[in-house]
Amino acid sequence: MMHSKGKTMEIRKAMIVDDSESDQFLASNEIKRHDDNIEIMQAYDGVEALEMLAETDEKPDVIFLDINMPRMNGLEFLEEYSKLEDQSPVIAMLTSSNAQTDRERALKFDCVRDYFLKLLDESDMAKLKDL
Amino acid sequence: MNTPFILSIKFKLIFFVTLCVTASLVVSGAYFFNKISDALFRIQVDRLESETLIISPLFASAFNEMKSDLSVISKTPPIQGIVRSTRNDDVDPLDESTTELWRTRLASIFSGVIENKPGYVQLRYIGLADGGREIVRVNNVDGSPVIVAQEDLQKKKTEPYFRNALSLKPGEIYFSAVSLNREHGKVQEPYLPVIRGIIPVHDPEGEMFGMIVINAEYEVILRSVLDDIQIEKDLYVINEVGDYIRLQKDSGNNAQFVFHSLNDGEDESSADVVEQVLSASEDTGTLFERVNSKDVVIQYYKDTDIFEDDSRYLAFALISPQTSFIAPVSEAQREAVLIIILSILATVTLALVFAMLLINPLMKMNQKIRAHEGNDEPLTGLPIHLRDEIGSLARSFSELYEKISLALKDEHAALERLAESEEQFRSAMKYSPVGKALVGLDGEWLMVNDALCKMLGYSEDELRQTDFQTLTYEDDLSEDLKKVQELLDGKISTYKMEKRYIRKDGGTIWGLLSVSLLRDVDGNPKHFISQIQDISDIKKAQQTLEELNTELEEFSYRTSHDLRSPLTSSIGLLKYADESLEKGEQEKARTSLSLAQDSLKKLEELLKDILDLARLKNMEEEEQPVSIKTLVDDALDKFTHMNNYDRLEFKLDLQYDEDVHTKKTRLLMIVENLISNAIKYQDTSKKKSFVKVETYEDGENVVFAVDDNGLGIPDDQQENMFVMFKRFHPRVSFGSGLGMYMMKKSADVIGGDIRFVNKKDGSRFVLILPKHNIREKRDV
Repeated sequence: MMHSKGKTMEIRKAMIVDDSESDQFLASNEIKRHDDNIEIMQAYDGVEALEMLAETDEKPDVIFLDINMPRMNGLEFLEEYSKLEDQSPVIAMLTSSNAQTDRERALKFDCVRDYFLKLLDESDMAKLKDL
Repeated sequence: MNTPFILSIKFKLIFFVTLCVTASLVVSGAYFFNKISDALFRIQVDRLESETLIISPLFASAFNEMKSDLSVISKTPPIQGIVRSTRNDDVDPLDESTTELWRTRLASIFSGVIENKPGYVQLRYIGLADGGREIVRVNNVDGSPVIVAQEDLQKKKTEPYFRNALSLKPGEIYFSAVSLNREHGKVQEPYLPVIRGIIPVHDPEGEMFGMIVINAEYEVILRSVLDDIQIEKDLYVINEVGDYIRLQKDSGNNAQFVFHSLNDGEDESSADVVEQVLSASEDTGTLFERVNSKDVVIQYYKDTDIFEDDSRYLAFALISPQTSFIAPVSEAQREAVLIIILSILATVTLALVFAMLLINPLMKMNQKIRAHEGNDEPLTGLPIHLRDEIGSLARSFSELYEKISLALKDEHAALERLAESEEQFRSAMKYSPVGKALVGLDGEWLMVNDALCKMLGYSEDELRQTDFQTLTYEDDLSEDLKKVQELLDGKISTYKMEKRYIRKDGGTIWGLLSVSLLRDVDGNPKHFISQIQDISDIKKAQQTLEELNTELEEFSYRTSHDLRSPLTSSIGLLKYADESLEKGEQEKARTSLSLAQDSLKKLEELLKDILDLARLKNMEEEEQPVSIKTLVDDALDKFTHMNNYDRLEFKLDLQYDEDVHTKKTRLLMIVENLISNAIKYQDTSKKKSFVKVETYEDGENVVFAVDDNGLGIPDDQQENMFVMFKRFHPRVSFGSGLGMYMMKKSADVIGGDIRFVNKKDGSRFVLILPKHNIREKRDV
């Protein structure tokens, strides 16, 4: 594992995985407000996200991952993602599901560093630095 | 069951009695036979000896007769007359008789003797003078005396008997050896064995003048004796040189003379006899010899008194075959054998009778017992009154029988009780509505009841040829086997589990299995008692309930999430729009508001679907005739305001134009959803998009199909097609994820089946309505 908890991380690039146009808009605006220099990648479900990760040379530092998505939802994405050799981007869940089971299932994965409830706000972004 | 005769007591008794009797008869018979044989033999030998002794004087008398003839002749006047006349110039000084005259007188005496003695061959008066010339000689020619003429007289000086006779004292008589008659120094033919008796003639002064010689035919002399005796044995009369006469009893006294020394015409057996007798040292005795391959007894007696000379004798030998000695015994032997055989027969008969007497009570007893077999009556008729061992046996048996009967009665009762309880057990098992089985330690079905057979779809026989392992659903086997082992190890006394069985038709059923282990008195496992309850229905209900529960949970989860999510977004967006307006960022504010509008629209749609679902779920609806065509037309009208409606080409091919009897709301819901989905999920990247709506008959079904070349369903998602809250298209943000689910439910309600048909490009959904489900049901 490339990153370990407690170490300050500089975010240069972030990926948002969400099927909702509105949520993509809101999240990317919040990230930009936090740091306008952060490059943002947008994927509309797990399948797209895996494809984009495989294609890009410059990996994002963090992935904001929704749970409820068509085709491949967030948890299914984590299954696939954890099989990959290079898990350099760490993952922060960003979802409107505050169901305990979703939280537990997501946090079981090593790559998952935090679990944020929508909407993303400044305090969430601040926490990101300590991931 | 018959005892083989050879093993029966009867046989043994007869056999041993016969054996003993036979043995003692044979042994004692043989002993007495030998004793008697010996005694008889001895008597016979004694008799033979006395016979021999009787014969001997008879022969001696034949010689004595010759002696007295010689003696008488020597005293006749012509003898001394010739002495005197010869010495006195042929004239007798006493009476002036001439020698010639005396010779004539003597010849007439000789002739007279010969006429009376046919055995005498010649009578001669031989003088010593003139070379032993014969003085008077009369021959016997065929019984008649013939006086030999003077000129034919012979000189006998060289003959052995002549010389032997020279030493004789006055009155002594000499017998020559038997020899062939010789005339003029030659042996006369045919051979004539002769014996010569000689007496000397002395002058008054005691000087020897001559001799008188009688030539006698040896055979004739002896035969004269033989004619007088009757013997039943072979007789040999032998002289000291071995010449003999043999008289064979079966040859009619036809005696034969044999010169032993010449070995002429002599047979070997006779020669044997003669040699034995000659070589015997005693004067009399009994010899046991083997002659002519026969055992014979030779009884001999050597008579030396006949001759003056002690070295000479005449031996008599009687030959008798030993068998003739014991001939009477042999006869007795035959009789004895007959007696023995008769005795044995009698013994066998007696033994048989005795054996019968002994065995019969036993046989009767056996018969009684056999005849009594399988009979519950007390056993009677045994010979318990007998005072012997058989009676004792019968009494013992009777007592034993009583005891066994009692024991058997108890056992019988116990068995009856057992059979009864077993029957109860069997019928309880057989008619139990629950599957029951006795299972062997290796898992084989030992006994199964009807319910189990029915449950598993096998006949009883088929089941008994298999085992529970074979019929257990693979995933459930290991747990079952584990439990079985624990049961066998005594860790648990019983277990219960839910498991699946595979029926004969391949179907799976759920069973609630309860197992306990039956052990024998020693605690060794015997078999399992299994009870299997078919809980397939319960399981199915449980499964349905679980599914419903899951569905409900999913529903509440998704609704809570999906309802909240657009609201949260909208709030965020509105707030952002507000901020943007304050900053004078018009464009951003507009985007935010537009997105907020979309979110709320989505929320509205979801709410509508949820309401529809709730309504559908609770709705009770009557079937009514419905025209599919009308439904399709109405839907197409309804959806004209939808995005991109205009770029679609609609193809309608509604071959089935009859009304269907069904719940209209349900069918309408399916038709509208399929058409609206086709519109919503069209592929706008394509030049031409179409939606094709078809109805047609396919056998016993009516099919409603909606075909498009839209976005389709990803292959890996098709299995979740009709699950709640499933959406397949990330970029297309509308869709509550409830539409397909509701269609499926509605299809179920109207007895139809909705399916997705995989195709290369776009999707094809078909609703299959079995005709029997869409006919008007008049009876109901």
